[in-house]
Amino acid sequence: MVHEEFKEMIPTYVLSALDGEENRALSDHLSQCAECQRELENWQATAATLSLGAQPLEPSPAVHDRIMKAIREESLQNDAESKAKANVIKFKPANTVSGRNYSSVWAIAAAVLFLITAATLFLFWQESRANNQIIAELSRELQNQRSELDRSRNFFKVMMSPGARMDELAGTNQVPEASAKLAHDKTGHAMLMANGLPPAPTGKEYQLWFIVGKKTMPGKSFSVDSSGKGMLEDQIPESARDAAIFAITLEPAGGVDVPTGAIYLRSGL
Amino acid sequence: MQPEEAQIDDVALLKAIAGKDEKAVSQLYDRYRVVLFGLLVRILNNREEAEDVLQELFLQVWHRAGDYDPNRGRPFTWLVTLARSRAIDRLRSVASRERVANESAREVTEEVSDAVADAVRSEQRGIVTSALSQLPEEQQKALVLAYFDGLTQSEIADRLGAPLGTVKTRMRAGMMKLREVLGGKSQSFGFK
Repeated sequence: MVHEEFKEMIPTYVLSALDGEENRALSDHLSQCAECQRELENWQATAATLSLGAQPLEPSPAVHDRIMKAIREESLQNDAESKAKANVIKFKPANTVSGRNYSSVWAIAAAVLFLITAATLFLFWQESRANNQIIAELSRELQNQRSELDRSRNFFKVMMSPGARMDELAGTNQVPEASAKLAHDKTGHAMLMANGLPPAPTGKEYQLWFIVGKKTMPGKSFSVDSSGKGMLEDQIPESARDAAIFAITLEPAGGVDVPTGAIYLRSGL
Repeated sequence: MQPEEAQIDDVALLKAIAGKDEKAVSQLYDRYRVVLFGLLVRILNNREEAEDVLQELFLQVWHRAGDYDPNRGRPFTWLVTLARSRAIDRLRSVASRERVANESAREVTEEVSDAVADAVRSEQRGIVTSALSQLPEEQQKALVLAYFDGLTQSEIADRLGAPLGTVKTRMRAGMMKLREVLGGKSQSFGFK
C-alpha cells in the first residue's frame, strides 16, 4: 500500500471503522509518516464534532463525587509515599552532606581502612610465620630423615662389608622392650641402631661402652628421638674389636670416661 | 461561543490538571460532562455503563493530562477522542454487544434529562445536526453506524446490504462533505 492510499483511509480510521488488517497497516504507517499524522489530527477534529450530534445528557452527581474521591485518595497516597521517601532521604544524608562532617567521615573511613589493612597484614604475617615454622619443622624433619637415611646406609654398608659382624644388644630391667644392633667391620668402623629407648632427660645422653674383661672403654654418646630411636656411628678401639661386650648407659650429655649411670642395653645377655 | 464561567481556557485547565490541580479536574468535568455523557450513552445505550466510562475517562485525564499537546488538536477533540475510544472498546466486547442488542434506544431517550439548557451547546449541536442533514442519507447512515454504533466498514456493509467498496466510498465522501459543510467551525467547538 502506498502513501496516498493510506491517506485516503484516514477519514474512516478516525471513525474506528477500518477492519483489522487495514487498521493495523494504517496505524503502522501513521507512526512513520508526519504528513499523515497531521492529516489524522485534522480528521479527528471533524469526527469529534459528530459527538455533538448526540443528545446532551446530565450524568448522576455521584459520578463527579466518585471521580474526585478517587483523585483525592490517590493524591493522599502519593503524598504519603513522597513523605516516606523524603524521610528516607533526610535520614540518610544527614551525616554525609554537610561539609562539617565530611572530615569526620573521611577520618572514619581512613581509620576503617587502616584497621582492615593492619588486620590483613597481621593475618598475612601470622600465616607467614606459621608457614615458616612449618617449613622449619619440615626442614628439620627432612634433615633428620636424611641423617637417618645416611646412618642406615652406613649401617648396611658396614654390615655388608667383608668380615663384618653384627651384635645385638638387649634391654636390661630398665627398659626390657628396648633393643639395638651394632654392625662393625674389621677396621672397627661401627654403626649402632637402637630402638625403644626412653627420651633422655635434659642434660643426659645415652653412651656406648666397649667392655673387654674388666676394662670398660667409652664410646660416643647419642640421643634418641621421640619414638625412641637412636643411631650412632663410632670407631671401636682395636683392643675391643674381637671379644667386646657392648653396653649403653645413660650419662651426662657429651659423654663421660667412666660409666656412672644404669645400663639400659648390653650385648651377650 | 463562550460559556458563562469559562475564564480559563481548556488548554490552561489541562496544564493545571497535569500539575495535579484537583479543582481544575472539577472545572473541566463541569464543562464537558453533558456532551461527553450524551455521547457515551448514545454509543453504549446504557446510563450506568456510560457513567462508569465517564469516571474512567476523567481519571485517565487526571493521569494523562501531561500527554496532551496543544499543537496536535484542541482539548475538546482530545477529550471526545478519548471518550469515544473507551466507549467503542467496551462496546466491542462480546458481552457488551449482546446487552446493547437487547436494550431499547427509546428507553434511554426517555431517561434523558432536560440538560440541554446550555445555549452554547445547543447552538453547536444545531450546527452539527444541520451539517449531517445536508449529507445524502446513505452517507449519513454510514457515518452514524460507524461513529455512534461502533460498526466497521464490513459490518456496515452487512447491515445495509451494500457492497464493501460502496460503503468505503460513502464513508469517505460523507466525512469530506461534513468537513466541507462545517468549514472552520469544527475548530471552534468546545469552549476555548
